[in-house]
This record gives sequence, structure tokens and C-alpha cells, in this order.
Amino acid sequence: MKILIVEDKIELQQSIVTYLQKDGHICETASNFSEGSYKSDLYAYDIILLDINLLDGSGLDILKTLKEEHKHSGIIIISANSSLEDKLKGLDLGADDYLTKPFHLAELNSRIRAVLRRGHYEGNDIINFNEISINTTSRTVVVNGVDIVLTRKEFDLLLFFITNKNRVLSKEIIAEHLWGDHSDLLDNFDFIYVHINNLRKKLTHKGAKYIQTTYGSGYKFTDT
Amino acid sequence: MSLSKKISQKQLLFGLAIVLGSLTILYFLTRAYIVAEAKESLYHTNFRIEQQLVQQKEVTSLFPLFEIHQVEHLHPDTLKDTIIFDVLQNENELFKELNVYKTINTKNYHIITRTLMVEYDDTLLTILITFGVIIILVYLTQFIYNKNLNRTIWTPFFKNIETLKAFSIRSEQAIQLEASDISEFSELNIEIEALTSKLSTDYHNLKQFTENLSHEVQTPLAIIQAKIENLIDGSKDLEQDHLKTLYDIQDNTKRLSKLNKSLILLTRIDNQQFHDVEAISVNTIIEELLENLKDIWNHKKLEINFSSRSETRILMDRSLADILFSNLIGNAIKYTNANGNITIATTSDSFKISNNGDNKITGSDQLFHRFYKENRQSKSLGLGLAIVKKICDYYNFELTYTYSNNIHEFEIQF
Repeated sequence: MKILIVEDKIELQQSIVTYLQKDGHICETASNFSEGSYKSDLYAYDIILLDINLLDGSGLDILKTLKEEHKHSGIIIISANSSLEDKLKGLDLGADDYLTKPFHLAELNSRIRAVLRRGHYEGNDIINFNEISINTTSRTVVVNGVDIVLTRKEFDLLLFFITNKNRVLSKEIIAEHLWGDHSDLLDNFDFIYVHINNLRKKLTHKGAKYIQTTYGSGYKFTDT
Repeated sequence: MSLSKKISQKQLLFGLAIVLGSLTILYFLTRAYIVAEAKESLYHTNFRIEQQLVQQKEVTSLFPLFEIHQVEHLHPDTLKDTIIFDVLQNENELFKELNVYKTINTKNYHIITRTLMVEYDDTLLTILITFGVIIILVYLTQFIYNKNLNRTIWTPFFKNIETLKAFSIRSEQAIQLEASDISEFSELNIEIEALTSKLSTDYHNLKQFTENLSHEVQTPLAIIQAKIENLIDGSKDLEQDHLKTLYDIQDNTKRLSKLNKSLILLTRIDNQQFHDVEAISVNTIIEELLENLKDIWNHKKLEINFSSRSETRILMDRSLADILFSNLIGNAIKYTNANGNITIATTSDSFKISNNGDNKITGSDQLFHRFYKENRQSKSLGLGLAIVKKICDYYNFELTYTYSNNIHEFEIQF
């Protein structure tokens, strides 16, 4: 996919590029408002990551322009502001999702995938990974033709794993994806281990092996 | 006591003292003068009589004014007060009497001269009364005049006190004080204006600084997190314990980030940046929360009872409502030991959550303070309850904590 990253903090911008490039996305960058306006206007992107607090302008204005010109990119706003009003304003103006800094790159990845699915850009509702088939609209999972019943969190977990396949995900990232701010209710992340184990049990013998434990409390979903 | 009253009180007391004092002095001075005058008059009459006698003229007595007697022996002169029945007044009266013994033309004479004191006394009394009345009148007029004067002079000052009371540092406007042509009041006004202006500026600067600081902090944090994540992701090149270290760094970055977000929230509420209100269904929020956290409390084998007597609706900002209940319920889940029990009850105007716990909280008066942690080793930030308290204060909800029979209970009255 072609992704434009509009972010004036260069280090952050580059970290995002590094991460997304691993999945084979083509990443372009804009480091200020004018560059962002220019590029988003001139080229077509599947996804645009838009920072609201640019030094020389507001990302929201770029958003407005994009919507006025009926551009079909999926737009995700990233911002240092956790205020609800900004969030609502962005979504009202037509953004597809909103993330506040600091965020996990794996989380960003999930959101990008979700937006892509919704916008039907390669956006099937069905995601396949070998014998596992996930239908994101009906939230059902079929393994080798057999429906398996997952709890809501287990479904979210599996989807998160597959979306970020071959990536190392720490327990912390997983907990935050599943429970957001409440992730600190867990005294320790052993609870995650229990959760993952439950998921493993529900997959086939082969499927369970996809979820690998990496040393130091991380997990990777991979078939290699 | 008010300024006016105090001044009046002091003035009246002083006035009273002056009046009494001056009347007393007047009395004694006038009396002394009168007595001296009486004496002089007696000596004068006596002298006239002596002169007549020297000239061999006959002097007849006129009782009780003067008497002339021839006597054998001389005695010392005396001056004294006597009481004599006065036919004219038809009663006993006080007289001053001068007795002089003198040899005139080889005869011994006893000359007695008297004068009626009552006239003098009446005069004294009249003088005193007149003086008393005049001085009291003068004083009262002065007093009333002063009172009115005070009132007009001090009015701008009192108005300014009211203005000061109503003033808030948070307001964008400078304080408006009533001007006065009295230099001290003018000076006071200038100083107050300067002081409040400085306070306001400092406050707004601090506010701005805190907001900017928090926002600035988020960017480096975001960069740290992103870089760590990329590092972990390339972990086939990493040593095992390096990986572990990276996870630890990630944990702590998360903590910092949460701390920062919480502080931003607290300052935002302080700055009253939450204007939106909606009708929030408390029951819905609680149900959603419990559902969302189901795995967690099931894992701890907690028993949660939620009962509501009626639909509870409150008016507040939605995100604050989420945070409020999330913090309280989250705390209960976090701090109740496994197999414990949590009870949540709502009525139309209250919310109560209780959980069992063996240990009384020792710092219960500090419970809602920022950064207070009952267990100092705990990884928690200590801001959760401070945020709850701030939200409650913002909407004037009453928040209480009690501990009895091994049960911790938090209650909010809406």
C-alpha cells in the first residue's frame, strides 16, 4: 500500500517509516504543512497519517481540503492532544481514525489495516492466514472449514496477531490493545499468558504453534 | 466590628470623658472664683463699716447682712460658713460670715458681715448647665457630621473590598477598582491593581507552561516508544537480556506516558476546559466497563454484584464520566484480593462501590491527594483517586470514603 506520513518530528516520522516498510508498504513523508498539503493534493495514497500539530499549520486543514476534493484515501489522525473535542472534530471532518501520541507502532499497524478493510482497499472482510480464515464483519473464525468459537477478546487477540504477523509483540503492547488504559489493572502480565494459552487451545495443533513466545515476555505470530 | 462602629464608639467614649472632665474643671474653677468673689465682697463691706466707725459715724446693724457690736475683748478674725434662717426665703440658708475684731477710736468692735451663698450657687449651677448643654450639642453635631463624612469617604474603599472579594485570578479581565481623591486610597488601588495583574499573569503563564510542558513531553516519549518497538522488532539480532531490557524500558515509558496524560487531565479540569455536558446513563457506563474488564475480574475469581434501584442519569462531560467510573471500578478490581467480593449499587442520586479488604487504609485523609500511594512500592501512579476527586469537585458531587467491618467503601452523591 502507498502511505503518506505527515509528521514534523523527523525521528518519529522515520520510526514509523521503518516499521511500515517491513510489511512492504511504500512510504512517503512530509515534514511540514506545505509539503503535506502539496503531496496529498498531487498524489493518491491509500492511507494518509496526519499529525494535527504541525508547526506551520493544522493537519485538520489538510483533512478538510482532502475531503473537499473527494480524495479517497483512508485518513488516520495522529496527535499529541488527548482532548475529546479535537478527536471529535477530526472524526467529524471525515477522518477514519484517531490516535494519540504516544502510541505503539503495532497499534498503528492494526488501525491502518482496519481502515483499509473498511475502505475495501485490499479491504476484504476476510483475512486468511494459512488454514485460518477470519471474517472481520461477522467476527467469526473458521479453521479448516470448522467454525471456532472465540470470546470477544480472543478474537481481537487473534486479529491483532495476524495483522502484525512476524512482528514481536510485547505483553504490554498486547495488553494495551485489548484493554486500553485499563491494562494497568493487571498486576502482572501473566494474565496475558493465560489468555494466549486459551487461544492456543482453541486453534488446531498446528495453529497453536503459530503463536511463539520470544524470550523476555514477547510473542510472535508466524509460521516460519 | 465595622470601621464606622468602632470610630463612633471611640468618639462617643472620648466625648463623654471630655464633657465630664471639662464640666468638673469648670465647676471647681468657677466655684473657687465665686468663693473668692464672695470673700472679697465681705472684706469690702467690712472695710466700709470700719471707715464709718473711724469717722465716729453711727452704723446700724442690718441682720443678717451685717452686725456691729461693741465688745470687751478682741478675738482672732474668722471667716466661716453658717446657716441662718432667712425671712425673705422663709427657710434656712447658707451664709458666708466674716468676723472681724478691731479697736477703733479706743473702742473694741466686733464686726460681722455675711453674704447669701445661694445666689452664687445658683449662678454656678446655671453656668455649668449652660456649658454642659452647649458642649453636648456641639459634640453631637460634630459626631453626626463625622459619621456622614466617614461614610462618604470610606464608601469607595468598601466598594473595592467587595470587588476584591469577587475577583478571580483566572479571569482574563483586570480588576476594576473605584477611584478616590484620597491619596492613600489611590495608592492602595494602584498597589492592588499591580498585585492582581502580576498574579493573573503569573497564573496564566504557569498554566500555559504546564500545558506546553505536557505536550512537549509527549513527543519525545512517542519517539522513544517507536524506536524501542523497532528495536524489539528486529530482535533476531538482539541478545536475550537486551531484549528483556527493552521490554522494561517500554514498560516505564508507558508509565511516564500515563503520568503525563493524567497530569494533563488534572490541569485541564483545573482550567475548566470541559464545557460539554450530556445526560449520562451511569448504569450503562458501569455495565460496559464490567463487560470490558470481565476477563480480568474473572481471572481473579472476583464476585461482582451490581444493583441499581433506578435509572441514574447525571449531567456531565462524557469523557470525564468514563474516567470517573473507570478509575473507581478499576481500583476496586485491582486492589481486591483474589476470590474477593465487589458490590456496586446505584440509586437515582448516588453511586456506591465497596470491596472487601483486610487492611484499613492508614492515610485515609490523604487518600485523594496526588501521588498518594498506600503501598509505596506499588507501581501505580497514585493519581487515580486524585482525578476522581477533582472530577467530583468540578461537578459538586460529594465523594466519601469509609472503612468498616473490613470493607472499603467509596460513595458519590450527585
